[in-house]
Amino acid sequence: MSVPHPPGGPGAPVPSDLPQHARERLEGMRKAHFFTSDLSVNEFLLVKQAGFDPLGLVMGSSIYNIAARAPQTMGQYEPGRELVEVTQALYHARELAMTRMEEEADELGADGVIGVRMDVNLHAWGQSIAEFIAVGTAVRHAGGESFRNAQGKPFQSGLSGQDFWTLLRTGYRPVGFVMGNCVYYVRPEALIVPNETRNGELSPYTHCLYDARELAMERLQAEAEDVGATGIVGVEIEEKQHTWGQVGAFAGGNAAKMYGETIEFFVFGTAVVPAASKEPSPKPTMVIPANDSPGGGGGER
Amino acid sequence: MSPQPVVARPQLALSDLSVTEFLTLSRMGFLPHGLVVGSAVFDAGWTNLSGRTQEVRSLSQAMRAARTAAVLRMRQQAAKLNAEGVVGVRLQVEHHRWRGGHQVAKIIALGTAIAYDTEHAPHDMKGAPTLHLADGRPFTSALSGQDFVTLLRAGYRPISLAVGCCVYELNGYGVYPYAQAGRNDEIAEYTQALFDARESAMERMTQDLFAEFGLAGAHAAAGHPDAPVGVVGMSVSEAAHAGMRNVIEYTAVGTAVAHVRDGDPRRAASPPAPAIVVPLDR
Repeated sequence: MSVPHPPGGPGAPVPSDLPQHARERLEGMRKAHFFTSDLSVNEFLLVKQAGFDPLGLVMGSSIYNIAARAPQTMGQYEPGRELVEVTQALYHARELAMTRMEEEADELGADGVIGVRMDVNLHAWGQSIAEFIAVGTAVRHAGGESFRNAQGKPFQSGLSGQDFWTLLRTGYRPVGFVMGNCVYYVRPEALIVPNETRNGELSPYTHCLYDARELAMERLQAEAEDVGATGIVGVEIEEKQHTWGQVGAFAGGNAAKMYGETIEFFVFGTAVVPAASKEPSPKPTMVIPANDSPGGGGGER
Repeated sequence: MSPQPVVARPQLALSDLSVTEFLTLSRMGFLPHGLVVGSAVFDAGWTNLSGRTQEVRSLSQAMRAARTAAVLRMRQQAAKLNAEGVVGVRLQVEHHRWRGGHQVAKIIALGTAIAYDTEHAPHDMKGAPTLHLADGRPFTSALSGQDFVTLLRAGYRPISLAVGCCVYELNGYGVYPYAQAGRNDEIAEYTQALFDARESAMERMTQDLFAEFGLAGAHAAAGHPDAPVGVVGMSVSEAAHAGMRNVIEYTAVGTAVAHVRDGDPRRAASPPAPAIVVPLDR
């Protein structure tokens, strides 16, 4: 089964274009042996415990114009299908942000980046414009062991400090932050129920969403295979309804029944490979937390 | 470093600590001395915007000055309450349009002042050195009570809230060619601008720290006694400045930390061993 990879995929060369202030900041931190990080205190200590030093907060971004248009032929909306160009655009925008973040980490001499987050910001300038931001904390192994990936670049991972420590202790290490996406158009006919009084499945709609999700997952998997991973942990599936472009402008209410819908599935996770752990893997202890926090986590206020 | 004297504590001390925070702090010997607030209101309007994509230096400087003033006033209040430092500091910004349409920005720094109380301290930690900065000022930090104690046990003490700002203007017409052509493409001008703004905010945060406390790391021996080794819990937030959609404001906030003073008994002999636990509360 071959899945065409969007352009600008892994390995695509991106010119070194870090702004001057980025270089200054990174240079300053390197010279002063001074780190910045968005790790929580617990994460910071666990990363230290795992034998790594945080080097600095690194980020990359890309502002992209997304032109999503409901596909029509002869005035008729086309049947549900992937909007390949939009898929590629959204992938490329994220890839640009990730590559710039990687560049910053490289500049710091990092082994990898942990706690990577991929955010999308919508600004007030226009409906079709979105900013993609990748943020994380660059780390380096204190013992001088190289944890860089096969390409000699710093690895990227979406793992929290806690997960990073646990993963290393249980005999795995991260090799890359992997992504897959798919933008799908669902035509209005797919959203209209033949008989509104009956309970029934909207099978064309189901089919569209199913297809889109599977395509995104398949691409995620292909990307993980590319970096030689044995598995992906912490996979999240995000379903995003577009507010961009012509289709989005009419979104909400019954508009979808007139113009159709554009949906993006974005999946991401951290690719891992087995690595020998020097310490025995820890045994879980059961506790009843007395903290009055709904999530059950003990770390917050 | 001489052991701390018992400091005068207000009869009734306000705090915005949660129950868990209060218990964690008080078991370690830290008691709240009061809720401390500092604020600064400044003029954020009538700036000559150029229409070009570039930094609005006057606004960047104004925001920096306002935040510094708010934190300074909060620190002074903490000093008056005999506190060693402030935990859980939050920086809030409110933009108001006052009568006559004039824009003002109000900055509030809010936290809980705490101090070490040798009478309440655990037995083996009574002789702990002070956490005041070398010049006698109280420290400031955005750390929760738990984070503060965890850091101290691990051998770090908070020094100061670290803040950096950058306000950037974007050319409002920069997006038109893209929107009209209906192209899927990167808007390089904006990417560069916001990238630059974010980096500037972070760079200024570290520069201000270096300016106040000097360099850390290899230079620590010769440098300032409070030279920080890093910043933890950092975040970079962005907001439309004063509701102007083409003016974006970036603020980097974190807590600068340094190693604890020599012989501080609160530093655990070995770092706490992390354990994997299965919480049974759900």
